[in-house]
Amino acid sequence: MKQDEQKTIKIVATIGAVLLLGYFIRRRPDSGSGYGDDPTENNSQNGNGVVFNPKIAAEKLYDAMKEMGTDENAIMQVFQTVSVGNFVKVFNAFKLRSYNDQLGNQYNFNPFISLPTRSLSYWLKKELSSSSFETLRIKYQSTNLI
Amino acid sequence: MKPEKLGNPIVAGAIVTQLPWAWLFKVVVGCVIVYTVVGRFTNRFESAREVSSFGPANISTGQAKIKANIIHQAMRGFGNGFDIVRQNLAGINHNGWVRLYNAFGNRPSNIPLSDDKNLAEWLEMEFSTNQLNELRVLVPNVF
Repeated sequence: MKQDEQKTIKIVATIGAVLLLGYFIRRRPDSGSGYGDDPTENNSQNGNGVVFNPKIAAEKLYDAMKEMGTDENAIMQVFQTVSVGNFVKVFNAFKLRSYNDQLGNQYNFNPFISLPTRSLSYWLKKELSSSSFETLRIKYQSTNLI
Repeated sequence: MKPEKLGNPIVAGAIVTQLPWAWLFKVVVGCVIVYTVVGRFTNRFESAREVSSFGPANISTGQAKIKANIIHQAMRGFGNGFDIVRQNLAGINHNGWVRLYNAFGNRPSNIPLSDDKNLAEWLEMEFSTNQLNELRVLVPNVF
């Protein structure tokens, strides 16, 4: 019986050791393993080394807002890539674009009067929900553009 | 009619008394202990590490603890306290997030009998896709 017990203990110990080893081998690495600059871009230094094209961002925003109905998810995904420093560039790249305040698009049914032109901030305020716009305001308020 | 083999109560009783009850008891107790220990080990909180190349954290560990408590309080119970969570996540950088994540640790979920959850799991549990998108605007690429 003693031999049996010893055998059992050895088997259990071996299985336990194998399980522990397997756990440590499969253990996922700690988050962040040194791959460049801060991915949140919320440091005082701007940019995370990735080349940023403000014109592309501005066009994506325009495409998401220009028709009736707004693709809020697309807009928020664009802004996930726009740091505070880059917001100014996107704002400038967007320039002023004509906007129909009543319909929320660019259609102009009056041939005698052209639509007023509006900045990116104006477009965003009109097109986004109050919560989404507030989120953008919190992030970019230091630029004094929104 | 003569009872045979296990049908014979005398034979059946002899087999039952021959079973190694003490050994079986030890095995069952051992399994319960191993299950408990492994369960605690695998569900334990794994802290994240700050990455020095990302620059210094923009919140202190004390601020991280305060923010973690505020965020947890906001998400507990009814409602998800989105405005409070948003306000407290705004502007933190990667290493600030790491401090906040570690200060939060694993906290009991709103769902009874479920495992404790870390900050990222709490956020994903409490907020809609649209709300998560908003939070990811404020702190991108960390959860």
